[in-house]
Amino acid sequence: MEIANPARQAGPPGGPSDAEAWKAGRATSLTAATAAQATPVQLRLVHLFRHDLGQGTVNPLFQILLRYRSAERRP
Amino acid sequence: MTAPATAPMSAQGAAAVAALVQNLPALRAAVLDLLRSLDDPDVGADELAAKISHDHAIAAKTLRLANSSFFGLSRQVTAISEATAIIGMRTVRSIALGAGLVDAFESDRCPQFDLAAFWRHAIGTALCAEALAPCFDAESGIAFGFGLMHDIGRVALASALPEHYSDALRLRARDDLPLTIAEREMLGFTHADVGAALAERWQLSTSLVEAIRYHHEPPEKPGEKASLLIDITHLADNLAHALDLGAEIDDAVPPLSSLAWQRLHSVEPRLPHVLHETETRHAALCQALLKPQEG
Repeated sequence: MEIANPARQAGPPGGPSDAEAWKAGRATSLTAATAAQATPVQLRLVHLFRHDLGQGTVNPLFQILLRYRSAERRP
Repeated sequence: MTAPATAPMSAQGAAAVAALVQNLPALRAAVLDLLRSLDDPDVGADELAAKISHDHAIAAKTLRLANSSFFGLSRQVTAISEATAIIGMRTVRSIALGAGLVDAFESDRCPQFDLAAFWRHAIGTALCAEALAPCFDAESGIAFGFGLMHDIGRVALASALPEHYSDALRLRARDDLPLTIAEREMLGFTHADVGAALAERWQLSTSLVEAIRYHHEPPEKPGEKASLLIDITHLADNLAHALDLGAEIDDAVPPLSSLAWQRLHSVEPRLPHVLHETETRHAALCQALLKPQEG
């Protein structure tokens, strides 16, 4: 799964309600990630990028790190 | 992601920073020499080996590191000049610098400050800057040194103003603020201000002073060599936080400067390699440089 960037208009897997939750701030972002069954590694990334995510701003490093972490988990 | 605009430090803040750095202990002469020669192209391998060999503690630690699994040498090296010939002058300078710096400050009086996490992050930033540098035709050894030094103001604050810095770190934790905002709120200046003032006091190069001063907020000027190193240090700092190399439970990636990212974004296809290089070398270098209780 991919955790969506909060500033994206198109919502992450799980539908627009998740996207709205992302935009609402850090605490709800974490809740949405949990609800979307994020892995511990993804949750940690959300935590590390919580200031950007909570502000609803785009940090390109977030998606880069998500892809990197996902790639290293593939066999 | 844009870094918050910075209000210039007040005259009162500047005076406090100046007084603070005057009261910090001097660095060992060998470490100062290494720092001052960091981006001096005229320093040769023999001169560098002599500088390091002159300080027995740093020389011993450098040799221990050169012989560690980090470099995987097939035989033991027993002299700095030999290490320089085998693993390169820049690398020997970097590890000697690391060996000298990690023992330079005490922060026992600031319980909120995690010295081990500080060095894990600094070493991670150094390795990441070193891996980023060739992508921009920058010198990787210089970038390593800049990465290692970028947050030096933090450990200086923990050492010189332990109670006030504890307050700033408590505020950061309580309100989950970016570090520089909590520092400015509580102290009137940031670790970047203190680190730059300290680097000036140590008479380090202007480019290193500027990289320390602006590593959270790279200035707008176009890509001269000095500002390229500021951008690389900034990006390496962010990536080291994103890789969680400090392993601090409440760590947070600081704001990424959109200007710096515009200047460096061409590196994106190579970032997986940079991240992998950084992570795979980090544990070994921490193990070699830090005391067991710090690793």
